[in-house]
Amino acid sequence: MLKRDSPSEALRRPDRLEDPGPVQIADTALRSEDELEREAEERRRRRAEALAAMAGETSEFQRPFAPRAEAMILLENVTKVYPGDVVGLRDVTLQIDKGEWVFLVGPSGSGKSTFIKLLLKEIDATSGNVQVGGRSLRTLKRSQVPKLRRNIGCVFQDFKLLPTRTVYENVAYALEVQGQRQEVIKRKVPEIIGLVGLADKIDKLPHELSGGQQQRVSIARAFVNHPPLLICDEPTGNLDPETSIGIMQLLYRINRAGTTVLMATHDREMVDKMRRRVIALEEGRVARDDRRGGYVEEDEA
Amino acid sequence: METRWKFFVLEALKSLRGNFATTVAAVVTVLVVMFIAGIGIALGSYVYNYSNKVRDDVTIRAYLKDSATDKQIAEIQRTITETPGVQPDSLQFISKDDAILRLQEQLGKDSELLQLTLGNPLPASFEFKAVDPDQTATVAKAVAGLPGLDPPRAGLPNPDYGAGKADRVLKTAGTITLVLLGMGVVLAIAAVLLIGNTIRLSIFARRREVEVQKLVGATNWFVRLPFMIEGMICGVAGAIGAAVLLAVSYQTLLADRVESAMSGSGSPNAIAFPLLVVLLILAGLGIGALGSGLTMRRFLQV
Repeated sequence: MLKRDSPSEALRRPDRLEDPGPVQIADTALRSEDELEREAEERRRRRAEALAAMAGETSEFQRPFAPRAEAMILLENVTKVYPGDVVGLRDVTLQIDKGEWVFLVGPSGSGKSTFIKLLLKEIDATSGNVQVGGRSLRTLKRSQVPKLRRNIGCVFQDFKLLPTRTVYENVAYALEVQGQRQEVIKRKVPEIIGLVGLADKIDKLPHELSGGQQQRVSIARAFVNHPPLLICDEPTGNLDPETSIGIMQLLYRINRAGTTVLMATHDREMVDKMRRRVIALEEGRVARDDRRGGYVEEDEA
Repeated sequence: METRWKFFVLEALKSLRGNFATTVAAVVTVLVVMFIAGIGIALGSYVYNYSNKVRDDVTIRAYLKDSATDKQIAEIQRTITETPGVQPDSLQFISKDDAILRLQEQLGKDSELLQLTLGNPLPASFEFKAVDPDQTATVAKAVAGLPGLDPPRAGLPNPDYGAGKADRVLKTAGTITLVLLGMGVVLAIAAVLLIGNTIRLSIFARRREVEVQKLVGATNWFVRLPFMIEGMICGVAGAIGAAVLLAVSYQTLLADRVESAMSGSGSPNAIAFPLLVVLLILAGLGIGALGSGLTMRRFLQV
């Protein structure tokens, strides 16, 4: 069992999760091949270290499947068939516990997006039972869907920020939809923006920010409610490796604070280094579910 | 709750400013539709009032024989007053002298012609109106054939209520009202389609925004309300613009002619301008709110 810190405390703690440091890109032309090679090697090493630092701490044994009280996500024999007999998921049964960090891997079309959409009740399962936070989504009324989504933070590959609103307004919107009072919003929003390291960009519009900064904004928006579940759909898919590390560290800290993180990703290095639970989907089925897995099955690697 | 509304209105204003081109398009659409609708309403109300006035003015005249005795005249008067459906205070006795005086007045300068006649050829008459103009014929029939009345002759019915003239006016007015109504229906359909389309374009341009709003847990109403307020603002702006345009074009093009043609208290009026403006603004509000609210629906299925 991980020791849980209070959310803000865990986010603030200046431990080994600092940024890998500034990267020199200037005057590459003046350097020798050797030097560049060495620098690239150095960067790779630091990235690997940073990822390894986020690796799972306890070795857990594979538990047989049995519903437990602390399930965050529970799928029982879930099948999703789209119109035209396109199958999204086939008879998927799995459980993700509260506080877990789970990678969801698999090629395009393997069902990752279907999985995520089911959890947000953007679509309904054709058969089977989906539970999030102990609530069955099958019986959840349409009018209750907004409440469900307020308890799930979402981070996407394309950030999904509101383009005409500033960083502050984007984060504030997540609170405004719940009818939070302005005093609360004015207190919480700058705090969370500070925590993701964008205090000086608070009045900028999304297009004035870099990709990594935009993703930080979307993480701030996802986390400002302190939701028990954070779903990330390829959060680093559009970012360069250096920037990705920063984003991953941010998410890692959020996970340490007790939030369940489910991350769909194609980033092999990240998955291999962090050694967390990996659920691999293939053609809509769970092909593999390792407590501390790699991106591909170990034998193949 | 008050801050809620402030938030929604601010949201609406923000996106109006952010989508300036669509805002202008929507306002101009509403303006054009409202302008044409305003002309239609003014014209229609004028025709309606005019035909009502013609109907109300239909007077029944019962002409008396010159030889009618006082007793017969009293009997006729009693019959008229006791006939159901007669406006009691509308009954008027026109003596032969009254009749010739009236004719003199109507002829004006040409009244010299009357000198050519021997004596007074005009009969005395009772004039009265039916309470319900549509009952005129029935009421007239009740009086017909009483002793002392001039017997009707071909082309000269007695009592006479100008059946032909009134009918023609009413029929024409009816046709005009029908045509205007038809135009109004066509215009309303065109307006709804046009405005709906403008709104759809503006929402379509922002469907990603709506998607994001729904993903962070906004309820449908939370997304919809600012859009509806936006629609209402556009609608009202268009309506006010149309009212201004109507007022200006009336003043510059029609005012002089209309005033000279319609001086005098008895002439029928078109709808009062302030009322017309209120109507247009209400219509603008309704179209804006409904148009955007309904168009939103399909984009909210996320």
